[in-house]
Amino acid sequence: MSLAIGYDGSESARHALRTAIDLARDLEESLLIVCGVAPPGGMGEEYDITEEAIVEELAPAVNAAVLQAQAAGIEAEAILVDADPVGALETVMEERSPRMLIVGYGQSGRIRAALFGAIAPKLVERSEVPVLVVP
Amino acid sequence: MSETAQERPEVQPGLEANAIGFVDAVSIGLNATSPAYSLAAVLGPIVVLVGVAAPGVLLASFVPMLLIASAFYFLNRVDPDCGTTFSWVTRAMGPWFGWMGGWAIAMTGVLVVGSLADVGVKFTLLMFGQDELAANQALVMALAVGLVLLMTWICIIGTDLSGRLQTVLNIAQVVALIIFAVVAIVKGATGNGLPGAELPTLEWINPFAAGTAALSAGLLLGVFAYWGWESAVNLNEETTDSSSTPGRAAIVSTFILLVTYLGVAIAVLMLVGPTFLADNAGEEEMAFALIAREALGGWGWIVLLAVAMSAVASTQTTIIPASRTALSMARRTAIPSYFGQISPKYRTPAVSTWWVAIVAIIWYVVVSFISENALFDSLTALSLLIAFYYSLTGIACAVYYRRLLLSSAKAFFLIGLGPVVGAILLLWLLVLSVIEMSNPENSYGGVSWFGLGPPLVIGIFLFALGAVFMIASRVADRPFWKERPSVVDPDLVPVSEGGDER
Repeated sequence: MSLAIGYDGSESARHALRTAIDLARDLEESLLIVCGVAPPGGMGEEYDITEEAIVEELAPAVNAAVLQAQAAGIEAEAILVDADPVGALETVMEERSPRMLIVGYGQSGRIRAALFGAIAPKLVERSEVPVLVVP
Repeated sequence: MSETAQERPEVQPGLEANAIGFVDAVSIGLNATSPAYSLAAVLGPIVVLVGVAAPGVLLASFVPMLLIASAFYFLNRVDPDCGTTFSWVTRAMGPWFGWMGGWAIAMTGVLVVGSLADVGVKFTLLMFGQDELAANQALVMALAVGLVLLMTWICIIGTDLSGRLQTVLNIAQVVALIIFAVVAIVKGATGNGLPGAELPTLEWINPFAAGTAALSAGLLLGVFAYWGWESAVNLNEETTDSSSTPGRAAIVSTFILLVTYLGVAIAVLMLVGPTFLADNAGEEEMAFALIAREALGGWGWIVLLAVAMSAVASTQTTIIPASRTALSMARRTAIPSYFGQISPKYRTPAVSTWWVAIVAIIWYVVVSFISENALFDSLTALSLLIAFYYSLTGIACAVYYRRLLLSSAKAFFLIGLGPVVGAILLLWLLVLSVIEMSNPENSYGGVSWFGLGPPLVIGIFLFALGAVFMIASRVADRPFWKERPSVVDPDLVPVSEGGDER
C-alpha cells in the first residue's frame, strides 16, 4: 500500500509533505506524490500547450519533493495527472488504491473557498479512503 | 512501483474522457456563441442595415460558418496540440500566415471584452429598473472596467462555475429567448404589435432583398453572431460515448441556435417592425431592452437577465482563448517568452491574461471616447478580424490535407472544397465590406475618420500594428521563423478519408 499526497510546491503543500514523509516512515509505506496539471477552465483552445507550460512550471517542484522523500529513506514516485487537483487524487485513488490521501489545507481564504470551493472539503466528499488534511 | 526522481514524471493523458454528457455538450455549443448577447448586440444594427431581410441575413451568414466549422473539425482531429488557427495555420502555411492568424485571434478578445462588459452592466442595471443609471455612460464605463478586472481575476485564479451551473444558465438563456419570441410572435400575429409592425412574408428570409451593399455589412455582423460556434464541433473524445455524442450535440445545438436566432429576429419584426429599430438605431443594443419590455411587460426582466448573464459569462470564455493563444505564441517563440509565464499557484497563463485584459480596457475606454457608435464600430471591426482568421483557417485546412483530398469524395468535399468555399465567401465579404467602409457615408453613423469608415480604420490600425510586431519578431530572428509548412500525417487520418489509420 501507499500514501498519496496532493502536491503543487506551494507552502501548504510543502508543509503537508513533511507530515506525509513522517507518516510514511512510521507506517513503512511508499509515497505517491500527485500533481494535477490540467489547465483550469476545461477544454478548448490551445489546451495541450497550456498543459505543457504547467507541467514545465510544476514538474521541478514535484521532482524535488520526490528527492526529498527519497532522501528521508522513503520509496517515492511522482504522478502527474491530466486533471484538476481533486480529480488527480481521485484518479490515483482508483488506480493505485492508496491507504489514505494527504493534502495541505491551503490559504485560499474563506471568501474564495465559499465562492469556489476548497480542495480539502471536495476531496473528503469524493474520497473512499481517509483524507488527512494538514493545517 | 517507484521510479527515480530524475526521470521526468509522466503525464497520464485521456483520464478525463467520458466527462461530458449530451446535455452538457449541447450547452457548451450554445455557451461559446452566447446567443442572448449576440442577438442583443447585432439584431438592431442588422435590421437597420437590411430591414425585414434580417432573418434571411442571419440564415445566410450561417453558410460560411458551417463550412469553416468543418475546417476546424478536421484540423482539430490531426493536430495533437488541440490548437487553434495559430498552430494550424503555422503548420500548414508557415510562420507568416500563422503569426497573423494568432494576432487576429488575440485582438478579437481585446476588441470584444469591453463591449461584453458594457452590455453586461447595462442590462443588469436595466433589469433592476435603473434606466437612468444605465444611460449614464461614465458610470457604465466605470462599472464595466470593474467587471473586466473581476472576470480577469476569476480567469487567473482559474475557477469557473461548475459545469452543471453553466449548463443551467445556458438553457435558461435560450428558454428566456424562446419565451420572448413566442410572446412577441403571438402579439404581432394578433395585431397587438406597435404601429409599423408587419406580418412575415417570404421576403424576410431572402437575404438578397436589401441589395448587396447592405447585405455584405449585414452578413459580416451575422458571422459575428455565430462566432465561437465552431467549438461545438470540436468536442472530441471528452464526451461520453465519443463516437456519436459530439456529432449529435453539434447538430442539436446548431438547430437550437438557428431556431433561436431566426425566431427572435422574426418576432422582433412582427412586434415592432423595422421602422422602430431604425428610429432607435442610436440606442444600439439598448433597443433590444425596449423591445423585451414591449413584448413581456413586467416580465421583460427575464430577457434582460438572459442578456446580462450571457454577456458576463462570455467575458470569461473570451479572455481565456485570447490569453491561451498568446501563451501558445510565446511558447513557440513567436512573441517574447515573457507572455508564456504560468502562475504556479493557479496554473493559468497569468501574464498573457492580464495583458489581454488591460489592453482590452484601454481599447474600450479610448474607443468609447472617440467614437459615437463605439459598440457598433468595434463589433464591425471585430467581424473583419473574424472573417480574416476564419478564412485563413479554411484555406489552411485544404492546404494541410492537400495530399489526401483526392482520395475520397468525403475528403474532397468536407476537407477540401467546403472549407475553401467558406474561406472564399468570407474573403469576398471582407473585400466587399472594406470597399463599402472606405466610403464613410455608408457607415452606420455616417462618421468619417481620415476619410474612411471608423470600423475600417480600426481594422487597418490593428493589422498594421500586428505587422509591425510581426516584423519586429522576424528581425529578432526567433526560432519560430524557422518553422516550415508541412502536410498532415496520414497515420492520423482514417482510411475512409485517404489516411492510413486503421
